Amino acid sequence: MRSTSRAVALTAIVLLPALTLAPADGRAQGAQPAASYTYQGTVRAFTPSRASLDLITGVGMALRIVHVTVAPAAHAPGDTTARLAGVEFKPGDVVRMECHRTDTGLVADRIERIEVPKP
Amino acid sequence: MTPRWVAVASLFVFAACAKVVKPGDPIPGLAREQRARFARGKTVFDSIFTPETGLGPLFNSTGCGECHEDPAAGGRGDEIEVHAAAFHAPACDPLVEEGGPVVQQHTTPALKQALGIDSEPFPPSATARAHRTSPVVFGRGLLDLVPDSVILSYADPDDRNQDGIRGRPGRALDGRVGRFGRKALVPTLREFNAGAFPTETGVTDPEQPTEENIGGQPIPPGVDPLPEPEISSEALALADDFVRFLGAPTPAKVGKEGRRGRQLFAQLGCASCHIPKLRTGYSPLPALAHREFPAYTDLLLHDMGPELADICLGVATPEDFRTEPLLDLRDAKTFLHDGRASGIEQAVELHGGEGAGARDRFNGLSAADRAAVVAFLKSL
Repeated sequence: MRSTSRAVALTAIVLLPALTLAPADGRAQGAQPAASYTYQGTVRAFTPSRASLDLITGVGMALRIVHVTVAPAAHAPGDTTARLAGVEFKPGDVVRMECHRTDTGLVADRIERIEVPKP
Repeated sequence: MTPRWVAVASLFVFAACAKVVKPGDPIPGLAREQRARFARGKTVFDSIFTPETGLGPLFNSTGCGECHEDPAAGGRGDEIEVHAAAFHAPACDPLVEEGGPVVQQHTTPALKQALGIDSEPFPPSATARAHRTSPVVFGRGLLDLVPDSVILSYADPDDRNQDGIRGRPGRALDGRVGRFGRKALVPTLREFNAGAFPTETGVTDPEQPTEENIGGQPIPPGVDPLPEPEISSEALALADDFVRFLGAPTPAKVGKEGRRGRQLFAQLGCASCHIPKLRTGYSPLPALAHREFPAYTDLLLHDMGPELADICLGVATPEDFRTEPLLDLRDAKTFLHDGRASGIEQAVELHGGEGAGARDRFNGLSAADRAAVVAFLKSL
């Protein structure tokens, strides 16, 4: 069971299809792709019900919190939901996120758990 | 290159390596351009910031040199910082949303006027408070270049050799091996320096252009009018070069007693963590590359016992501390991470956890042998 969990963790990549992020009316057709932001840090909190994740990042001792919403499409029925539901990020996990900015804040398009090597 | 030129070059290298480095001196063998940047960087390091030049609105000091000054720029200071975190095993929350982990002790007049506070409020969710002295930053550019593989080679988290020492590496928030800071949170000197400007002086820089919140609350309008970042890339790079090029002070020559003390230091097991010499790896700067230097650290985290425990940070538990590099110990007036020890013997006696064995062996020495160990340490 443990090795299964680990395997799930190692392969846990939440990929939200670009299609689900595009406006339904198709306005994105021909639009410039949104700028992508990459963050890597430690999970402070993950609330699946609200699809929100707080990541601690920073430079040296100047630490900052990055608030991210996992795209709403992650909660729609279908494969994406299942894949997100299978991933439980907990405080202390190290993750890398690719995000884009919206009027309401950062939205994560991809979240990947990073395995920190044991000495 | 002819053999004669090789010989001449070797003499220069030997002369550079043999030069005695005093506290505050640059690393021997720097090129002229690097020495010039060291001098210009010292000017930035010694700068006094004001609210008009970016200070605050929260800060611990008005400049790097205010806390790192004794016996020379880059040395110690007598200021005591306050840090906070919440430890809910196994996770550590540095309480960033409440203003942690560094709780600044001063405010600018504008912030005081707006909020009526003289210091940042202590995070209400903290499970521990820590005090931190300002360490010397001598030799940090050399420590920066010790390969991760060397640090990891000293780790023994399961104590397989059964010597009671179980070092493990600190980790940055993104998973890299940490080495700077008392909890080994920070992986590189550049990041430590770039983070120190906003954390200690409230001066934002291009690598951390975001001001810290005020105990979790946004900065009141008009309190910090200077646009971010408040210092330029070049100013940051110069300050970074100054710290990077500060040499590791050469230990003083010791007499018979000191030599006896050095021998005992190894025999007691102190040198299991305070590894006397480390070697840098590759650097594009010849003066820093593949250099052996006095370090007296393994850059690993060790459990120091419940008496010294304070905050967690990253993967470091409250009991974990990174082995302090024993550099310029001769000028130290207080000892340990929070300055609680007023002398070397007291500092040794406060070692617990993985340090307890060496401490007990030290305590079992004759008075003369204890004095010899202290004499040796005072030569560093």
